[in-house]
Amino acid sequence: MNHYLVYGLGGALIFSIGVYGMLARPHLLHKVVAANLMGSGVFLILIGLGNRAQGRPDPVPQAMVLTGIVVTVALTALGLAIVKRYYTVTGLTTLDDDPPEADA
Amino acid sequence: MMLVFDIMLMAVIVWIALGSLSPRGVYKSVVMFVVFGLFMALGWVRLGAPDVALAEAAIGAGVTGVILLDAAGHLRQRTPGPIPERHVRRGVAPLPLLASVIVFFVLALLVVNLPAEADGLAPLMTAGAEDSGIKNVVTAVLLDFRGYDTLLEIAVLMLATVAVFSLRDAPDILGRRLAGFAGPLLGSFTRIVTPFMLLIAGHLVWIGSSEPGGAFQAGAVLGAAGILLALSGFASPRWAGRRVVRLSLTVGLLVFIAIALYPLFLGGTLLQYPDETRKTLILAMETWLTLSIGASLVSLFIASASPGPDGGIA
Repeated sequence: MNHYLVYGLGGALIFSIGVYGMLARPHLLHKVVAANLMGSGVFLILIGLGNRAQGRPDPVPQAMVLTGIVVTVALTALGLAIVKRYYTVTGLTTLDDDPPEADA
Repeated sequence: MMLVFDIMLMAVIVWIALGSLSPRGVYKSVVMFVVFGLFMALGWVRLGAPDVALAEAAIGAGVTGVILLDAAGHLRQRTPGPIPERHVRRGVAPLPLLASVIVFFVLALLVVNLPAEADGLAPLMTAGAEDSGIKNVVTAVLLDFRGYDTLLEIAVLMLATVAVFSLRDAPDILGRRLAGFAGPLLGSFTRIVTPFMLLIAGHLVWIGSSEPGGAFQAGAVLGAAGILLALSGFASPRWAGRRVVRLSLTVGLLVFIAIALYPLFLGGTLLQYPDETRKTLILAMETWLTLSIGASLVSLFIASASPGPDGGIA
């Protein structure tokens, strides 16, 4: 088993954990964390597979992941701003159609 | 031997990832997610990606952690105590589990079936980087070979900042004081540590062309310094008016576009820097990008941060 496989398969596992969280966790903050986990899984696969080169690792996936990390923080901040606004307006922290007075 | 370490590290990362989705409370999730980012940074070092490790530790764990913590606090303002019971689904939901297991096996199959050795673009990029005089190949890829990606990324970052600004509750973020933690210890700690953070940011830009570092890592450190200042109760200085903030948010993108267009006047194509000025142009670009990335990260945090108990107006 090569070390790129460890990180590639680990990335696949973390991506699927993110998928599970996105689908199964009702709290919106959990969904934002899950989206981040999915991103990290993709990054692990990208850089893991870039480590198949003999000698130095492939720099192109590294540059792409660097770009991806910055875009992810922008996504997280925007997502959280929407979540907070949603909470201010509705008093809810989930997308369930519960009566709002139960939460306020 | 190192393989054992890799497997253990990956196991810990997966375990922390599971913990960060724990239904036992949002704060626990956020803290676990910060820890997740730090262990990921360790993984990046093992994968020979120190540039990514720097960015992950500063942005992935640091900035993301801070905005998540702030959001967790905000969502609790009106509903103190743990998450309401009906929002907590204990046990395993069967359908999402099935979906994620299928996703895992498809991805795992793809990863395993790829050839075990592939040089990818590494030789090409290394050779190209030697020609361009940028010894750090990752920086060369980011700002030279794949300049389009980075240009559009900066645009995405700026658009996200504008969007967060337009979603904020408070009318104006300038001169706002955040929730006051400013004890004597934090105050003097911030005073001591901020100049060093600025120094490190400058150092990271400067060495970025030959060693791990560059505009993103430096921007992250700059942004972290700004967020630390804001959290320690230092209000933004008087000269940092609306115009200065907007200018520092956009200057990176504007300089980048100007430098991208410059080769057109020399008869080249977009982003095709002339060889003799390549290094100077990239360094100039990186310097302004650092300022804009730092300003964006601070703005992404402050624009949506919850105001202090006094309404937050300094």
